[in-house]
Amino acid sequence: MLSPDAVIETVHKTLERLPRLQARIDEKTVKRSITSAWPDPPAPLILYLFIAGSDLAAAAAAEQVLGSVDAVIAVLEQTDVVWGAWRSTLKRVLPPSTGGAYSDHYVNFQSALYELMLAFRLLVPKARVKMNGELAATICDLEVERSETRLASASRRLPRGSGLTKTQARSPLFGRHGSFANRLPAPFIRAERAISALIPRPWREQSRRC
Amino acid sequence: MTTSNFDQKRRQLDSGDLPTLLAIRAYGLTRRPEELAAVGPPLTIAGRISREAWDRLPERCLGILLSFVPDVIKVNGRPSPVALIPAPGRLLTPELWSYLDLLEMLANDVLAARDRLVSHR
Repeated sequence: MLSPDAVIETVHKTLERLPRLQARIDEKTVKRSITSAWPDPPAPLILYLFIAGSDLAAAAAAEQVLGSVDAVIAVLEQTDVVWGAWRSTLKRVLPPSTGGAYSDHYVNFQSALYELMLAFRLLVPKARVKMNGELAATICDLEVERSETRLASASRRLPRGSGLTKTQARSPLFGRHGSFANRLPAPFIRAERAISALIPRPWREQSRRC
Repeated sequence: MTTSNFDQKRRQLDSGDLPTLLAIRAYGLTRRPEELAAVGPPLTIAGRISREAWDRLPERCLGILLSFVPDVIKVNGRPSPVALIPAPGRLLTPELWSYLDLLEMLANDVLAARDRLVSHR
């Protein structure tokens, strides 16, 4: 039978592999997130951390998401290729210190995670991306602009011009799985299915073989 | 795009003086994610989107970026798959085309249709 202590321990073990996330998520937040929601699943990132450290089928997929977030934090902290309101976006990805359940934070988490990953997906050599943050209700989430910042693999260049395009992110929820009304372990299993569904099946199978 | 909660996105997409793109996290468009693998090439998808939906995008918005694996940066060492769905009847600037090409967001059918998708200026 899964217990809060076992989940907390698993989350901490996963965090040991993710130094930037570990530096930003303290022990109290992990504990509060899990115990305040119990027996419902905790805030999304904490749930991902648990799944990544478990033997559930979605462990590899969760690890990929967490690895991306950890890598993104490193780049955000050390370069300005993505700049602007990234801190507020990252804050929406991280678990709130006040606790709260998965279903309370899922929508915000999902849209913020997408904005963060999209900012990096829009990068090319000699460009950088400005994040406008959630308070910018009248302008697009992301702006791509020409930059003098050099990326290691720069081989081709953008045409001249300070601005190139603006992108608005949308995270529809038509496919969102139902609320987590059931007791453990069912909610965790449902969440696992939700995470599995984020990754196309062929890639999941391939990543498992690697 | 045809729901009322799209109004704010629409205003955001009409802001500023640059061309805009609407990026959509594909997972969430359907309750059956496996359908995404069989949804067809971008120009086919563009044709399946209703005129009413396209008309909701401001003229400044030149298309949709459909993210198939939105929550990771790379998949098997490659950029996570994103495809441009060009808005029918709207022309991309050559600069924006080059940029999207660099990003590997132009699928084969879109690349083959370059002459009718890019403005000649």
